[in-house]
Amino acid sequence: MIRPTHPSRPGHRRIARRRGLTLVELLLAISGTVVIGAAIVAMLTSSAYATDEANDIRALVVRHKATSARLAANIRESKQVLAAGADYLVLWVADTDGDDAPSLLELRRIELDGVSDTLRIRDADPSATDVVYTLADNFALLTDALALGSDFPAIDLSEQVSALSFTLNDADPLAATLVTVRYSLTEGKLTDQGVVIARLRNAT
Amino acid sequence: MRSSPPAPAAPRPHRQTRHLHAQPGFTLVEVLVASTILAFITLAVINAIAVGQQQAIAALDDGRAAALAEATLEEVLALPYADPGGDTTFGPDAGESTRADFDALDDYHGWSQAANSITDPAGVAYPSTFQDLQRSVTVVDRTVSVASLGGDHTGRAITVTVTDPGGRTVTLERFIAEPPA
Repeated sequence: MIRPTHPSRPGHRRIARRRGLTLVELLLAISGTVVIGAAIVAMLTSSAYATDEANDIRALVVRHKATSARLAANIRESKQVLAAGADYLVLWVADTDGDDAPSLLELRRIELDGVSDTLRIRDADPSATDVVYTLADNFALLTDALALGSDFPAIDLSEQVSALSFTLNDADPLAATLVTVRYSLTEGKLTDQGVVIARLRNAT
Repeated sequence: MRSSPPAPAAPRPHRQTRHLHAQPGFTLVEVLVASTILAFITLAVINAIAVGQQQAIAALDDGRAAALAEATLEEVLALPYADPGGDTTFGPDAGESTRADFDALDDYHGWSQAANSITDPAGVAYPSTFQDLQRSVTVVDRTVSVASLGGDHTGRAITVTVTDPGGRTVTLERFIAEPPA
């Protein structure tokens, strides 16, 4: 393999003395590589985690804005609260037919579907036959029943909503003028809470 | 650093010999220079990632401050313009010690909440992520002149200021015209 070289070449002596790596040298080299490799892997993992988290946070910023704006808009344009519970709010949007009584076409319900973690809004189908109710009706049960039929369809407002609560500024829903909504949004491993306060149109 | 190929006219090259001869390895200085460059590049990349994350967190914080300001304004606007008790001085009327007692929007004049004491209208604390913010409200008389609406209109200007721990503020102002008598 190593051919004799010209004697005048200075490389001659070095080649003659060349030997392989000793076991200790090899082990040192391997352990050095392992340490550096581990550091690089740790660095890449943490930077990947950081970029993932930054993306989740950005997504949360946008989803918070969209969710709170839609919640506030839906509540703010409504006249009165008819019923409120842990995860639902029934609104009387407006007395459009002027009969001083809520009716099917004037109802709106904001609810959290706890199974799919989806925040939904239900409005009456405009082609449904109108039904007139009285303020004394139990709108929680009434809209529960309506939700099973086709006259009160839901549209999804926001997904991955893990908690929702409505608080009114009056024990009597009909007299309330201010609705406080608390919700939690989940994005990746992050969960962040938001608070929306909206006044109803019956506020003076 | 490698030797260049021999000229065509040269005798048969002793490739291995020349190769080994020309292989000097890296000197300490070369290794130090290389690792310094690598260290700077790594730091720059990590710094860029960290700054990106800080920006995202700052955007989330800004969103919270804006949401708190909006919520405060809504709360003030839910109250009537004229005080039912007939009180005309701005700020809480006699006997109104907490905001639950406020009965007109001018009662919020001078109202504020410090950090770690932010509560919703029912008195329930806001989530901990909002608690490093502070807020204050002022209500002042204001006259606005709108030529197309017949000149001067008197009313009240409500200003809500939310301040974050860095001293940055979100300010919302709303003019409420005096309702016709």
